[in-house]
Amino acid sequence: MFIKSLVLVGVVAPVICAVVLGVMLWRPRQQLREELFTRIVFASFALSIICYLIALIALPFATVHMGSQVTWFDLPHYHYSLAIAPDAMSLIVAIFSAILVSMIGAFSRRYLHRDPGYFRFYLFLSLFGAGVEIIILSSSLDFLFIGWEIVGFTSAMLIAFFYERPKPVEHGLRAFLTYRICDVGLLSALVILHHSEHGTLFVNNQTTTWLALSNTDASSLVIVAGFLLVWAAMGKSAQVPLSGWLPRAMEGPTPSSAIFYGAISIHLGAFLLLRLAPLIASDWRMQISVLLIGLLTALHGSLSGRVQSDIKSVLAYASITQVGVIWMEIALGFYTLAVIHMIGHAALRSLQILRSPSLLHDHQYLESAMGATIPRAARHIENCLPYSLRPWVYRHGLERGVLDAVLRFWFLAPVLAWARWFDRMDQRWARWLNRETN
Amino acid sequence: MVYLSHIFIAVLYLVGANWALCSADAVIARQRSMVTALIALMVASMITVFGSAVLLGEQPLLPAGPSRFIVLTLTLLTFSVVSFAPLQTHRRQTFSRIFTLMALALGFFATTSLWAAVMCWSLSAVVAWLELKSHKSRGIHRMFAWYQFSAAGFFLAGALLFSFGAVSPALGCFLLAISLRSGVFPWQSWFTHFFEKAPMGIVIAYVIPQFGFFSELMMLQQENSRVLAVVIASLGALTAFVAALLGIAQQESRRALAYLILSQSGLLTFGFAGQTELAVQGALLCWFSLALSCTSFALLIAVLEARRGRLLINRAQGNFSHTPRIAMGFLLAGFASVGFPLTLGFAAEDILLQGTISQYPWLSLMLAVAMALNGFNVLRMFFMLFTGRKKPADEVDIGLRENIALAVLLAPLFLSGLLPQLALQPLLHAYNEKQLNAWQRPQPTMLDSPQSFFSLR
Repeated sequence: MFIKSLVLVGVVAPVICAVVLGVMLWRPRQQLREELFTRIVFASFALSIICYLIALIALPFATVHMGSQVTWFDLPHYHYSLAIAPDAMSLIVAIFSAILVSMIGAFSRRYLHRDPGYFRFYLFLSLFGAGVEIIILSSSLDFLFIGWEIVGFTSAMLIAFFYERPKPVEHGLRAFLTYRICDVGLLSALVILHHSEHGTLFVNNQTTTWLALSNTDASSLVIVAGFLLVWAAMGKSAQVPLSGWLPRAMEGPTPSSAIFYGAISIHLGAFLLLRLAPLIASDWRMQISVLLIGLLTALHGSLSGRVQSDIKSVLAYASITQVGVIWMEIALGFYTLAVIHMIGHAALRSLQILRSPSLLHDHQYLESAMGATIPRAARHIENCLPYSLRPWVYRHGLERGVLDAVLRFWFLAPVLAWARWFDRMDQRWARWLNRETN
Repeated sequence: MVYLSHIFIAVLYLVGANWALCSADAVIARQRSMVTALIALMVASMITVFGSAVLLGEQPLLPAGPSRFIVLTLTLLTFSVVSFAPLQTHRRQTFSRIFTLMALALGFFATTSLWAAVMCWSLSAVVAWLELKSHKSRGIHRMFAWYQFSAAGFFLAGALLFSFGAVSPALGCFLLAISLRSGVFPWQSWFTHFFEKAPMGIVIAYVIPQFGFFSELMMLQQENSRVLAVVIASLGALTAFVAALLGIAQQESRRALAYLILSQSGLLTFGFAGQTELAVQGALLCWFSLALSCTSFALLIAVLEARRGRLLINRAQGNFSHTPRIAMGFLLAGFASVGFPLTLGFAAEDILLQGTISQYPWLSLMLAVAMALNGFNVLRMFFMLFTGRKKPADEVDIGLRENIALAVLLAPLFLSGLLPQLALQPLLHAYNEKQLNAWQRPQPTMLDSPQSFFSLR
């Protein structure tokens, strides 16, 4: 009970923080103080970290009913529970995420000082932190869905942070469309799992040391739900063929790029796969699918990343590559390795993205220290390829695998064309009924 | 049986309608309308809070069941609509007609009499049509008349057939009438054009009370037919899905809003056809959430339109730095209307889906797609209307009057979004008191005495 309450306080604190900041933003901008906003965000995440740390220390000494639930709302034949999972893996990842959010908050205090969007940034940062904590600590897909939606929304809002320029807005919208299309998978999986009476709770499983979706009685319907969840994870983790939004998402402010696409958000898909691990392990088709998606993504990310001309795109493709590898690790059953890889990659990549605005300065500093030009490295793939194949691979990288064009012209364009045709017919019908001449 | 609280407020609204009509100009008409709407809101709140102990003769002053929410919700909507109504599109006659439409809606919910329901249904169509006819340049009164007078005709035909005991043909007529009135696919054409051309206050007063869905609920309670329920659920899911798809291709904000509301209304149709207690509770909660959120969303579009003119959403062409409250309210109302987490709509849609999954699992999947696309549609509208322009135009943000109205609409949604039990507990309490009043199947003796026909089931 003690641990459950602690973890719940840790999860709720960022939510309350976001609500408080949202209410404060209703006041005129002149009355807002940057310092106060920053302190509120710090305080809430510090409280979360302390709660999780105490829970983690107390975990071996207490008997915790995994999947402890607090009823959120209650009807005679149904109740919605805030099901939380204070297992060691979840707590460690939650602490790591809360620390990263706090550090990004500290970094942004100077980076965004006197920026017109300062308050907006902290509001979305705290909301994002709340969403992430919910995803990590929820022990049911129902509750996880709330965090999943919040993270998607805040991600789109921060990509479009510099709203006066049309491109960030366009890219934010594109990322949100990808998220929503993939969210259909999560929502449909929820419907199927409820219908099949398999349930959406994560439970203790023999194949994992943390809570995960059970594989007992994994009927074909549950396997379909599993595939839909993999689809949901693909969107968040920018896996092939849905990876096109990630390099474009770097239009947002550097701190948000670091926390979303270098550190936390990009790994949430892999985290969802870890929650599904027993289900994936029980069906070879799912294993092969996850492995292939990971492999193709890693290859695509690696090839495309090599020909990018700006540092943020290079880092975005590097993230895509590493997450593809993490997916492969999960498909092959190396779960602990995947968790270590996730945390290590998140820490390194967020640091790289935070340093990226000073790249030229760092480069010059290094060169002057060395007294020579920095030698080009990591050309092993180029050297391994036959000469005749190199232009093709180069072109693939330059065109980003033409994935965006395929998605746009083969899938989105027909839907829009149909909708516009329908609209034209509707207008003609209205004109005829209203006896209009044109 | 007639619920006296509804009738009392309906009469108050009719007095207010006349008062607004007698005003010298639209400014005075709006002031008078606000006073009337505020009095009605206070009376409705008092009746809801203290009314359970007050009896008038043998009739309880407080209506049984969920209609308690309906009266409070409608008075809330009326207050917000008249507070927000831009004077560019709302004349004194428009204010008068908004009150008349709301009075007719209250009359519709006040009675268990089928004939009174037919009268309220038909009159509301006539009132809205008169408003459209008075703006001849807008040129949609003919289309509106085709659809809505046909709906009223089918409803009347259904009532006549029902009174002669021909239940199956009557249900067919009711179904057609409900589909036409609610804009269920493929009869959605009038809906989008009505949204596009009519003053927003009239749109809200005519569409949001959702006569069609409550008629559907009463019809399903009357005739416990599985086939009928499946047909209605399929129509609802199809409407939600198609409207969501069409919504993302719209270039004009009013049409996008129409498709958004149509899609969410399809969800309501689907929920009411669920025929389980949980589904109906979810649908009722959804209606409450949708009524508040869609009204605020629509009113903010009207407010923005009054400042900028026609709102195109084919490219980003706004800047929210001058109107941050409109922008924030727009985003909040939009996400509340599509059931985003931390809003009441989320809990409502969750309950609705839980109540229908076991019966219509495959149709629920269509709804999942619709929900996802509607969320995208809201953010797209926000980005197109409030971002993308460097130098903001000199737009004025909403003032105190509109701020209060917006807070009144949004506060319940977000407060009960964080703590859904706040909204669920009274709803459940009301729901358990008595089911919605249903039209009674005619008995031979009833045809002899029309009064007895109008009694509760």
